[in-house]
Amino acid sequence: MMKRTDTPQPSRIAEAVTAYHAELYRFAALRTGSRSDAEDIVQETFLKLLTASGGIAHPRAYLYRCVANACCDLKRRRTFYEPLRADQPQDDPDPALREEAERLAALLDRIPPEQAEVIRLHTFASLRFTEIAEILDIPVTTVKSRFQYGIEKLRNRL
Amino acid sequence: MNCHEFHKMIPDLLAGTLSPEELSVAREHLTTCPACAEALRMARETLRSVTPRFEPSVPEGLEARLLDAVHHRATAPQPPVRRAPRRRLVGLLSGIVSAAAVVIVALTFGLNTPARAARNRLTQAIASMEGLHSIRIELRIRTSEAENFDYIDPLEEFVPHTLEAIYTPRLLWRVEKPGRKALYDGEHTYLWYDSLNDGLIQPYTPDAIGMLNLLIDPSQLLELERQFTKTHTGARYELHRKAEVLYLKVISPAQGDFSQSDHERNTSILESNTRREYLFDAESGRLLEACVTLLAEEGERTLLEIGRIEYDAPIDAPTLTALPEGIAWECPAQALPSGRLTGIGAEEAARLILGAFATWDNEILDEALRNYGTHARELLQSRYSGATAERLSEPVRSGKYPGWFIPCTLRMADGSREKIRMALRNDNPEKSWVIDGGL
Repeated sequence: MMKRTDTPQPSRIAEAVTAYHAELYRFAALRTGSRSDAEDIVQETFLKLLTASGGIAHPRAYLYRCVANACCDLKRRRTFYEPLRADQPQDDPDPALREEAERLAALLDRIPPEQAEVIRLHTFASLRFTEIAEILDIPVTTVKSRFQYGIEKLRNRL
Repeated sequence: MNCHEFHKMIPDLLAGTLSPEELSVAREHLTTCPACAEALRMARETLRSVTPRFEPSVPEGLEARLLDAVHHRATAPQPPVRRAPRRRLVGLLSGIVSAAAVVIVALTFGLNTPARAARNRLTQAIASMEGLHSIRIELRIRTSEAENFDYIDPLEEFVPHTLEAIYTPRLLWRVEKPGRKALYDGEHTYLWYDSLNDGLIQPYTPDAIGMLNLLIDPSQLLELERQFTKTHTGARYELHRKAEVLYLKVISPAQGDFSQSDHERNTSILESNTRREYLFDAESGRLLEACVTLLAEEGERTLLEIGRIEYDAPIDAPTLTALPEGIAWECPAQALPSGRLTGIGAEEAARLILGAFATWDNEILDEALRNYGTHARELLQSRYSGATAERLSEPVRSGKYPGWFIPCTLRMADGSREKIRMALRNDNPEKSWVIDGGL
């Protein structure tokens, strides 16, 4: 897979696409509830690699970080169109996905975002705590404590 | 193991990441502590509630599309977002975005169902705006206060704009932003600049407000968008509905020809890769809000937001057309061109104009600068009088700009050098070259 370089070569990016596109897409789809938004976000994330500079030591973590950030940005932007997000659009090509994404978001929105993000990376993407620590660039012990506090808060609020 | 130690192990128990030895110790504790067993059970149940009930399938062909996109971007890199060069002071004739100027570009995507759905929605929205008496629109644009109304710059802050229009018995409108204002009183267009106290009076000139002309009657904007659904501009469409609101998303590549120069890329909405979002009232069909976002390699940047549209707003004509005090008004149409800048090419016109800087030849410069007010011309004279052209490059076209850009290096009167990119155009009845910016 990709080695640490200043800007990854297209062939290296192609390898990353093959290796990681499916899991990144699934993660983005569950975050956004939209197949088209998920595809856009994943595509933009891989294209970002073409201009990434400063070295990418952990490409998978970098890609997850980009996708997670893009999903947050999309959600923030969508507050502009909030009335639309609360119910099922008529032309939604995958209402089951959107409903599931909204159900998960409704639960995870009840706890602090940094705790929700750790839980999401674990349950949506089946990532290990060490992998989540790489993605969020925080110690593993912090990942575990956020996970535990998040689960406890969620349990109390359910 | 005590209860405190057990609680610290719960994340690893849930994640299944304990070693066999640790697991054995934890299980032993559970057999003797019902409280911890209950805590673990609750935690498992909670975790299950936030675990997706199914795994979304990966679309067929996604990998191939992503590989294509990477290959395409790698072999045809787009320029980065850059600070757009200023067309300083006045850009009166810079109506880049107008319905008439729409050029059909190469077909890259076929029409599809979303495009048809978008077109139907736009048709209904246009029909819903018939019979309006007046409108007030509040919007904000990333631009410079002093620049023309067409100008956008992704790196600028938002500048608030208000636009008001009365449609009957005759069209009147007023557009304001800090630094620059314009109104149409049914006979003349007035354009003035707060900082210069200069103003221009012209016959009806929609160019005075550039792309905002499309918002004087927003159905023009929607009609333009509707035309795009038919002319294969490479745009993608999505339409969603929720109860009382319809949401239309358009992802559109930059329009225009950038084969000679990227100068105009990202300087207007149509000349940028954008996402355009519209929110309609599902019942009346009317446009409620809109948002235009620049899509660039470095990320996204909102360029324009229409936050509020008041249909049939109570606006009275005298207030709408009231002119400010203390403005020196000029009628540039009365300053007939000398004819020195007609019947020649852009490069020759540029040579003549730059040659006139040395002695500030009014015969040529009055013609070239006839769209600039008195104060603006005085400012330009104090800056450029005595300057000579050291180097003049070939004129280039860029984007949808109807004129030419001429990069040149000037030796200023004080001996310093200044690089400029003069914008020249002659799409006026006299076919006379005028400076449209770059100074």
